[in-house]
Amino acid sequence: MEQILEQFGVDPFLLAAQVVNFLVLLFILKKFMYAPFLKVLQQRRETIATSMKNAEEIEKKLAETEEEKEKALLLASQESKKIIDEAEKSAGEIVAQAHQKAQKDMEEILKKGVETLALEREKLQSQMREELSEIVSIALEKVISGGFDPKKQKELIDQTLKNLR
Amino acid sequence: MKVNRTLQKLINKAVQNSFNDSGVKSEVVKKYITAFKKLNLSESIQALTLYSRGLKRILEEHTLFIESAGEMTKQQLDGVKSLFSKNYKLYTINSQFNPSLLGGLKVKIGDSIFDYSIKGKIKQVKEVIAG
Repeated sequence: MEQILEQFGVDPFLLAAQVVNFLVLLFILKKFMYAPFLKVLQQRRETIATSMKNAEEIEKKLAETEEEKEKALLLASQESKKIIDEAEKSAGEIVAQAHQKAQKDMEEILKKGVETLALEREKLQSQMREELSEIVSIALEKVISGGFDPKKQKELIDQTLKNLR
Repeated sequence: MKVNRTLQKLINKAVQNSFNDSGVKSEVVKKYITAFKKLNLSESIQALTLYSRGLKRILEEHTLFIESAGEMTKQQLDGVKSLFSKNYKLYTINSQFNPSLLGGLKVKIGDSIFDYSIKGKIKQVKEVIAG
């Protein structure tokens, strides 16, 4: 063994010292470098896992929100369609009612107009008859006044008495 | 002025008694006037006023008013009288000339008017035309 070490030029003491050095270095590295590094790595891993979890939750919530939004939109769409239908129905009814009222009013106005016209015509006819009767009366009186002599007057009275008997 | 109810009844009776079928009984009227004059002054005035009104009313109710456009002969007046005496009790006849009637005659007795005049006929024609 010693021959082999000598052939290769290895000093056992130096080798032992180097081993000790190596072990010391290993110890120091493990103590002051690997442990914090691993700790940082672990923390980072945990942070990433938390972030991933949060991201998943957010994505899930986003999906839920999206779903809710879709539902709300659908509901709103249905509501709005319902409101529009009702509004259209109401508008139709209002228009129909207005049309009916307008028709009724027009008929009423027409009826009143016809009545007024008839009354006016009746009034006019009455006035015309009145004026005509007045004219006829005046004309007859003018024609007859002074037209009968005493003999004719006597005859008229005799005729009246004869008719009364 | 308030009229005594007994006096009013008495006056109404006096008015009725003052007429017979031919007309006013002058003697009875004079008798009632004398009697009413004997009442006290206010009653006397009241009674005479009411009595004269009553007589006038009865006379008007039984007076035949004839209006004619021409002068009527006695025969015509008698004819009218005989016609109306069938349905009315007549005390007097009052005839009047009214040229505005144009022709024919108009008779009034009480509240009734009988228009046989030309003017009346024209009025009827006027009413028919006027509707």
